[in-house]
Amino acid sequence: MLKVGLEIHTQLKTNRKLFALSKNTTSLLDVRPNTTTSFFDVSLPGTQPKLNKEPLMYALKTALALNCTVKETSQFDRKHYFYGDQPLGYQITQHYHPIAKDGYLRLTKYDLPEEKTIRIEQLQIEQDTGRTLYKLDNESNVDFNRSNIPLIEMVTKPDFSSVEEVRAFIKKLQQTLVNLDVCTGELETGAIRVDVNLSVDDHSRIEIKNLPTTSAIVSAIKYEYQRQCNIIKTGGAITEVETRGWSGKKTYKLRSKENAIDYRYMPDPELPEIKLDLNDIVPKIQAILPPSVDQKLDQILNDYKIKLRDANILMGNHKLMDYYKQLYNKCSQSGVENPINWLTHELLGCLSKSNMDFEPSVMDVDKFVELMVALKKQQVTKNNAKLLLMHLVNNPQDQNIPIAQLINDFDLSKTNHTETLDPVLDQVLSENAPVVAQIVSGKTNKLKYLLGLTMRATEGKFEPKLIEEKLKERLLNL
Amino acid sequence: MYRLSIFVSHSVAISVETNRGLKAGFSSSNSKPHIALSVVGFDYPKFDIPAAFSDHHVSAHTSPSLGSGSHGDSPINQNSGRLVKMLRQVSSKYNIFTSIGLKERKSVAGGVLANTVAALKDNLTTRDAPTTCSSKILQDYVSPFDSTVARLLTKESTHIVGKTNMDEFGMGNSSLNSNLGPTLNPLYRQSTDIVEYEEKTFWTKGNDINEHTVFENPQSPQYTEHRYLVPRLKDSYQIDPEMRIVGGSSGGSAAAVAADLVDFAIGTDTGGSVRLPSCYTSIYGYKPSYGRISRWGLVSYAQSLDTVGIMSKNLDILSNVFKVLDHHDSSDPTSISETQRSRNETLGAKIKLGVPLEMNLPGLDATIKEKWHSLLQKLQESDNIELHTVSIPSLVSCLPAYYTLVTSEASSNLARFDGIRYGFRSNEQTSQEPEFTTTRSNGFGSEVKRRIILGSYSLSSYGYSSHFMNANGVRKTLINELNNVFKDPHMLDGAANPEGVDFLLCPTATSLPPLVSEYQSIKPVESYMNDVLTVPFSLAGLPVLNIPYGKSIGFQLAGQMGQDYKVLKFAQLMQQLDRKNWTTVAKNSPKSPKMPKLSTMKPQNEYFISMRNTPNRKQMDPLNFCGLVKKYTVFWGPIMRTNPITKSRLLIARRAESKKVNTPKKNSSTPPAVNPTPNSKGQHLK
Repeated sequence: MLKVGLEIHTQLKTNRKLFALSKNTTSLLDVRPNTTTSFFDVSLPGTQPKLNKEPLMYALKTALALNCTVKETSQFDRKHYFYGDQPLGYQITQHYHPIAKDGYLRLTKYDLPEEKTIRIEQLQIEQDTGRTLYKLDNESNVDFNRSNIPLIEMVTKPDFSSVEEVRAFIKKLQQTLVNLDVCTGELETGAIRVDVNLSVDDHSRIEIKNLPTTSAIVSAIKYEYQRQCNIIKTGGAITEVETRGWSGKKTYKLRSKENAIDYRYMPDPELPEIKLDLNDIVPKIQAILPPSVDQKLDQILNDYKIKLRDANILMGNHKLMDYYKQLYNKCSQSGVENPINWLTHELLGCLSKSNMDFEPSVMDVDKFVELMVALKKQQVTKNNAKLLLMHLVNNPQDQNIPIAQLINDFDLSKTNHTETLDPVLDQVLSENAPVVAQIVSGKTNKLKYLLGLTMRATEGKFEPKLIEEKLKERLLNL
Repeated sequence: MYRLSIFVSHSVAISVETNRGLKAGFSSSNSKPHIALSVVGFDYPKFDIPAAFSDHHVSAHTSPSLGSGSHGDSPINQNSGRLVKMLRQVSSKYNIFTSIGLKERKSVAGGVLANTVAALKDNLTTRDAPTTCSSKILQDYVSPFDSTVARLLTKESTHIVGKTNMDEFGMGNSSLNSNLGPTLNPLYRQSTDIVEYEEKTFWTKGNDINEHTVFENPQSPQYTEHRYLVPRLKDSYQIDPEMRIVGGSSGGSAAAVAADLVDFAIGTDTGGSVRLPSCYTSIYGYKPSYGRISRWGLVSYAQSLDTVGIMSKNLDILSNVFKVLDHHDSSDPTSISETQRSRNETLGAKIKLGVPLEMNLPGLDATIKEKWHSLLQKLQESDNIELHTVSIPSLVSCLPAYYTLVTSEASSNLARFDGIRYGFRSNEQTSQEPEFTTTRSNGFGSEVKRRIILGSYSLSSYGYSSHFMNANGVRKTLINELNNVFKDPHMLDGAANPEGVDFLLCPTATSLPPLVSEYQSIKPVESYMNDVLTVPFSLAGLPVLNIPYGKSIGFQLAGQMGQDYKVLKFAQLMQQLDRKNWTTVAKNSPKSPKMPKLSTMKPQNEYFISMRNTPNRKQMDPLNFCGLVKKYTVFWGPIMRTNPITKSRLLIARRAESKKVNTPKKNSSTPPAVNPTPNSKGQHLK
C-alpha cells in the first residue's frame, strides 16, 4: 500500500521581504541580479532581522483558509547549514513553535471522484535562500534577490494513497492560494515547491526532493513506488530513511541517514516571539477571507452553466475570471450564447501559440463581443473567426477597426454562393480519384479528407456543413 | 581571482559542517587579502583588490610627516596631527588601536558631547575605517553603513579617533586573542614598541561605500580620501615580564581610556567584556541593561547577551554618553521601546545594598577580599546605606550556562563568514567543497574555532536538550531569583520584591590581572574562570558598573534590569562618600571630581600627556549630589552572615542581630573577616 505525505514551500507575494524592507521581486523575471537586496539579505556583519507584518498577515490568511489552529505564541528558529546561496549560514524558520498547526484541505467532488480530506500537520513562516545559477567550470553565480523572501512551509500528514489524490491536492492548493491572493501559484517559477515523502507497506520513509512540476511529482511517485515494490517482491526491505532526487526519468539517492545534516536548530536569540491576541485577530482575518474555492466553483457552475474544466481554468486566474464575467454579460446582452469555449479554448490557445500571458488588455472585450456577434450573424465562418481572433491578439492596433471592415479587408466573409464552390469541387474530386474510389467502395470516413481539401481551397468562406452536403451530393451522383 | 561582477562565484557548493571544516588544517595561508565593500543601497557589488594592495601594502610611504601640520594649516588640523602622533606613540607600545583615523577633525559647535574625543571598539561598524573585529576573516572589511552608536555619537559632536583592538569577535577576557597582536595594560610598564603603524587609504565617490569605492588613487577630484593607520605586529617583539593582561574583550577601549588618550571609549559586553578590562585598568566601565543601546552595526557574537558599554575615567562623561545612546532604535529587534525605558534616578532615603554570598568565592584573592571589606566598611559609614547579605543559589551554575549559550550563539552567528560575499577568502578550491573549510580554517583564530566547535556541539542533536536547554533553564532561574532580590520592578515583566535591595555589590575580578606570561601558559578553559563574577549579570541583562577601587581592582554595582540611571546616580554618590580614599579622585582637587586622575599610579606619565585640546566641561551637567546625603554617621552592621544561606529569598538581617555577629564599631582596627570557607554547598563554584 502506498502512503504519501507532502512538504510544500510557498512564496508569498508580499511587497517587501520577510525581515528587511527590500522589495520582493520574486514574480518578476527581468530584475537584474543582486539589485533588490538589503544589507540584511546578504547578511552583512552588524545587521539584524526585523519581522514585517505583511508576510505574517499573509501566513495567517493561509492558515485560516486551510482550517489550521493559529498559535497564540510562535517563535523563529535557526536551521544551520552551509551553502553558497544561504548568506547567513542558517535559515530563519519555525521549527519548535510554528505559527499554525492541525489544519486540513478537503478534496471535494470537484477534485476527485470520491471526497477526501488531507490533514495538514503544521504551517510555518520561513526565509527563502538566494538562487544559485550553475555554470560550467565548477563555477556558479549567486543571485541574492530571492534571499529573505517570505515562504510558508506546510507539511501534510501521510494521507495520500494514490497519485490522483496528490495531483488533485496540488491543484486545489494552487487554487486556494491564488484565491487568497497570497501566491502566484506557479510551480514552474518556483513559487510553489513540493517535496514528497513516500512509504510502501509501512516500510521506511523515502523523501524525494527537487520536483519542479506536477508531472514530475506524479512520475517520481510512480517510479519510486514501482522501485520499492520490486525490492519488496524480491524479498528485500526498505529499512533506511533516505533522501532521493529526481532526474526526470528516475529517482536517485542524494543522502542517507548516516550522512544526513544535523541542522542544529536553535531558537533565534534576537527575534522576539510572535504574540497574537487570537480572540481579536482571528475573526478580523476570517472576515476578510474570500469565499472558498468550492463556494466559488458552486457559484460559477450554477450561474454560468459551464463545464468544471473551464471553471477550474477560470479559478486559476483572477483576471481571466473577471474578464469572462464581463464578456459573458455583454454577450448575453447581444444575444450571443455562452462564449466560454471561445475564451478558454480559442483565446487562451492563441495566447499560448503566441507565447503570451493573459492580460485583459490582449483583447478588448467589446471587440470580442463584436466578433461573436458577427459569427452569430453568420457574417464569418467559425474557422475564419478564429483566424481573425489570432490576428487581433497579435496586432492589437487593428482592434480599433470594426470587425465588418476587417472581414472585408481580409476577404473572410462567409458566402452561400455555390457557383464558386462547384469548380473547386470538380477540381478536388478529379485530383483525388483514388480517394473517391475508396469512398465509393465504402470507406466513408475518407470524406473528411476531401472536405478539408475543399475548405482549404475556398479559404474557409463556406460553412463546412454546406461543403459536406455538396460533396455527398456529388459523390452520390457519380 | 575574484571577479569584478555583481555576481559572486564559487565552485559547486557542498554543504560543509562547521566542525568538519574546522578539523581541516589550521595552517595559515599566504593568500591575498581582499576587501569586500559590499552593499550600496540595495545594490550589491563585490570588489577585487588591486594586486598592489597585498599584505605589505603601504600607501605611498608610512607618512612620517604626521602631526607636522602638512595636511593643512588650520589649528584644528594641527591639533589632529598632535593627537594622532600621541595615539600612535602610545599605541605602538600597548597596541591599543586597530585603526587610527587620519581624517580632519571638524570644528564642531554644540552637541552634548562637543569637544570630546572617543574610541570605538572594532566590532562596531563605521564607514570611514574598516571594521575587522580583530579577525583575519574581516581583514580590511569596510562596512557600507554606520552603527547606530557611531551615528548618535557623531551627531553629538564627539570626535572618534579610531577603532580599538579586542579579542577576536569578543571571544576572550585578555585581549591577547587578536589577529593584530595583543593589547597590553597601560597601568604597567612596557619598555619597547610591539607594533608599527602603517598608513592605508581608500577612496569613495560621494560618502557611500559602493561600487565606486577604490583602493588605488583614482586621481579625480570627485573622490573622497579616507586615510587611516593600521598596526602591524613587529616580527620580534618583547613584552615586559611584569606586564599584566589588560582584560577583554574590550581591552583596547579600556587601554585607550586608561592611557588618557580619549575621554571615553565604547566597548561591548557579552559576559564581562567591558567590566573586566575596566577593572584591570582602574576605570569606570558601564554595561547598561540589555536592549537599551542599539546593537545595529554591532557584529554579533552572542546577541542575547551582547550589550554596548561605555568606559571612562569620568562618571559624568559616562552618564552623558549613556544619555546620548539611550534611545529606542527600530532597526534593532531587541531594542527596548521608549515606554518601557525608566529614566528615574531617585534614590530612596535608605539605600539597601545587597552582597551576594555566592560571590564570596573560595578562590577569591586575599587582596580583593580585603578591598571588598574596606569598601563595604566605608559604605556603612553612611547611615543612608544598609548592607544586606543576599543569596542567589543559581549564581554557581552561571559560568557553565553562560559558556554553553555564548558558544552556541557564536557558532550560529559566525556561520555567515564563508568568504563568499565579503571578507577574507582562502582561494584554495578543491573539487569537494567551495572553500568554506579553508576560508574558515585560515580566517578564524584558534579561540574562535574552539568556541564554534563547542557551540556546534551544544546545538547538535546530542547536545541540544542536555546542554543548550539546560543552560537556558539556569538563565531563567537566575532571572527569577534576581527578581526576588531586587526592590525595583523588572523593566520587562515588572516582577519585584518590595522587601528587596536596590543594588548588588561584588568584585569584578577574582584576582589582580594575571601576568601575560602566566595567562599564556594556562589552558583556555581555565581562563574562562576569570569571567565567573561578571557573567551572571550578563545572563540577567542587568545594568552593571565597574567602579575602580585601587590599582587593577574594581567592584561591580548592579541594579535591577532597567534601573540604569539609579546605578549611575548611586555610583556618583559613592564617589562623594569617600573622597579621600577614592583612588580615582585626585587628592588635591576636591572641587573637581570630574577630572579624576589615577593619582596612585603614574607609570607612563611621560607618554600620557593630556591631549585634550579644548576644555570640554562647560556643556556637561553640573555634578551635585551633596544635598542627597545629609549626614554621614557611622554605623557598623553585618556584612556577611556566617550561617550558610540556601534559600534564594533575600534575607535581611536586623541590626540588633547583626551587632552580635560583628561587634566592631567605628574605629575598629580589625575589620570582621569574611568567612573564607563557607560551609554551604551552594557557595562553591564547581
